Amino acid sequence: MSLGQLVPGGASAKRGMLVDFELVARARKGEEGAFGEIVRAYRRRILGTVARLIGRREDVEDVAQGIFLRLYESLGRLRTPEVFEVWLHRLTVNASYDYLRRKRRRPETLMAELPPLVLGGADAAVSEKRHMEEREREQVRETVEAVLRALPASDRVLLTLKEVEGLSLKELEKVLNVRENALKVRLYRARQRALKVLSAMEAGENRRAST
Amino acid sequence: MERRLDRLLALYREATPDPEPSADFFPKLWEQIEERKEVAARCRKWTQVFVAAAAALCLVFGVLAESAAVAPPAPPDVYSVEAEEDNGAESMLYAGFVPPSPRGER
Repeated sequence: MSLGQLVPGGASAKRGMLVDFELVARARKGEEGAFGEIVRAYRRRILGTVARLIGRREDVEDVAQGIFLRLYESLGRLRTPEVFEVWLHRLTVNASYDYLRRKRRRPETLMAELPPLVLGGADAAVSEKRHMEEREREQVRETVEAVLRALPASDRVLLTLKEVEGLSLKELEKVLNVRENALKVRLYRARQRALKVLSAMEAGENRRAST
Repeated sequence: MERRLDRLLALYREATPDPEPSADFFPKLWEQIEERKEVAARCRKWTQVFVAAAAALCLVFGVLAESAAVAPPAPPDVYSVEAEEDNGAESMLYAGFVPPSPRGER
């Protein structure tokens, strides 16, 4: 698989606060307009994070709506607007966990199997170069989804938040309510399991290619 | 292999851009919020009704108990007459008076 044309950067890209604390404070006081602005600001980010955490596009909107509903109900309990992002991340992780646990036995629809338009990238009329890039993206999605799917939900969430969403260990500590040292151990084990799956997948691919 | 995993995970972020929400994302969300608010309002209303009913019952029982304490039932007349007779007999015995037997025996 050639990955040369794609430039990584998502994992290291820091994603800051999209609204100011004053807006959060207003929403906390029950101002519905302020809450609407928060939803408008965060909906795409939440949809993206949920999509990568659960890996099924067809249910992403339902899960995201559940997250915003829980946010609406729990905003009053938020101690200070400064912890808003951690709070939102926690709601996102919890909702995704719940979903993954609930749907464990349901047959999966891979993101790579969905029509390209749903994934927001490909177009039938794009140039050959773009077409190639899209194919590479598809391969990446397929490979990573297959690796993540083979992992337990906790590993999947941890790896996605750290390596894909780019959360620091300090942020993860707050979001998952786990100490940094314990997180490091869990992350190491999750990576080892992911590496094992990836190796097995590539060995299988090589075997198929040689026969 | 470690590097390959890192690279794949980083590329995965690029390969899965944040999707656009559908047109009914907002309306659906507000619908759910309104539904929850209605349920909460109904619960609040029932709680208020329950509390009001409990308070009214407490008031009624309180008034009944109060009226019972203010006007205790008068003791029956028979009882008071008997008590007076007993008292009379006791005081006569105390004074050393021996009532004659009905047949006149000693």
